[in-house]
Amino acid sequence: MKRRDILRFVPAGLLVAAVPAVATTYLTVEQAQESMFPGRRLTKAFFSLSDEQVREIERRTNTNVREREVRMWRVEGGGAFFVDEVVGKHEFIIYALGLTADGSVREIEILDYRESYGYQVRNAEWRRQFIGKRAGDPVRLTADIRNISGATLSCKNLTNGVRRLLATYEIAVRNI
Amino acid sequence: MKSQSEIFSRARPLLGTLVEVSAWGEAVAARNAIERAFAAIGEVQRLMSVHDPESDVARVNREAHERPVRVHPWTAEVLRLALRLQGESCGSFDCGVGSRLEKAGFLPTGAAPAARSASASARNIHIEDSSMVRLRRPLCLDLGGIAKGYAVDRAVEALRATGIARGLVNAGGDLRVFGHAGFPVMVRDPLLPGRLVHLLTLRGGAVATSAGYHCARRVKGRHVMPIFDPTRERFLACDSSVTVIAASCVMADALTKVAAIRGAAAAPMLLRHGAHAFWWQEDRIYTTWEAECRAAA
Repeated sequence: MKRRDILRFVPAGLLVAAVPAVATTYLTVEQAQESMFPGRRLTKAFFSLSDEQVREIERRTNTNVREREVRMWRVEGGGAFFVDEVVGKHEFIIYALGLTADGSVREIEILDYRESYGYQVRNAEWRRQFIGKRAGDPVRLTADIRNISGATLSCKNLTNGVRRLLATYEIAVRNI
Repeated sequence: MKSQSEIFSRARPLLGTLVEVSAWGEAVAARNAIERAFAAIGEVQRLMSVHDPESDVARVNREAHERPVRVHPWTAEVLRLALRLQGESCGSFDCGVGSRLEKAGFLPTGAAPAARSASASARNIHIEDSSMVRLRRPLCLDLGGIAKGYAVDRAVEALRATGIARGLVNAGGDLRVFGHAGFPVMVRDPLLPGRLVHLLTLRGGAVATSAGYHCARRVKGRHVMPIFDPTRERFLACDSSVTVIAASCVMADALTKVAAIRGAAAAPMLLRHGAHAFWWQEDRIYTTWEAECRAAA
């Protein structure tokens, strides 16, 4: 690695003011639909799960159904598109799942990633980022996850969510 | 006249974490490049995931103590590098200690059904004829400390091969950038992971950080991260983090383990590989950058 590739580093012992939250938006629902099923028509087909369906999904997948409303679109020619969210201890992820006509996964795309540890930012540091700023100066309130080294969150919640949606499709839509 | 370059980013669950691929350029070219990058990541997962029963790693763990197992050239490349690093790091970097991780609950049980010996290590792994892997005794091979970095490198290679001049791949915190004017790299406070600090700014290169904030477990009364120190026969505590920068992500990834285990003693090895480490412990950051290095406690 050449020295000229590294522009800056923090001298030992000196820490710069921290950023309180992480937020990155990757795609809107429409963009994800166009990306997964280019040129195909999608028809909104939202529905609510019955008690029995919730029980069967939870039994089959060993996950919790937190939200009864299923945001599904039927894909012209076969397949389905879902928008769902998973909530971790500090993360909130909205994602889209595309299924092929036979109910298998075509693609998973993150739409929105949000993270907050809020209370851990000390007040003095939070204020410091405003000192010297003039009205209209940009204030960095959020960081993008792409800039973070060491996130290493497990995608377990996300893969559980996908399993839950796959079971939802089988039970509530294909009736198997 | 330079054309406007827009950023295109996608994030997908892969390698047990979230992987983001970003490419700067024109829409069609960028999207195509991003798909190829994700395909490369998917290939590394298919070959090296310890969870996938059909992966090279799983097949080695099941059969290679009985007969040699042929692996993909990428798997062989990673294994050869892992074995070389084991020698260079005086045994600190060891991809053959998977059964310790299994026992501590960091890996699912059944990853290596025949592995029972607590003293198995990567020294028992042998590569013949460039891609045949043989185990001298049953063990659990785990490439978790190096495969993510390798996947990032393969993904960056895929982006560049389609002509992208500026991009980045971030696989759960193992990241590599190229073609930037100045890319800010943030690192989490190991004791307050919601607190992000702008540690450095890169034009190009790779960064990896080892820490315990998302994967800690209690083992023998200690709060530990999934890095096993074979020289002290125990897992590393969660109270600190180490960040390594290097030209490739596979080296940054692997060297975080060496730097975490050996502390300042890792400095000669890091410098030999053109890498630097930043140890963050108790509100202070120690680094090889200034060639001044005090032992991380």
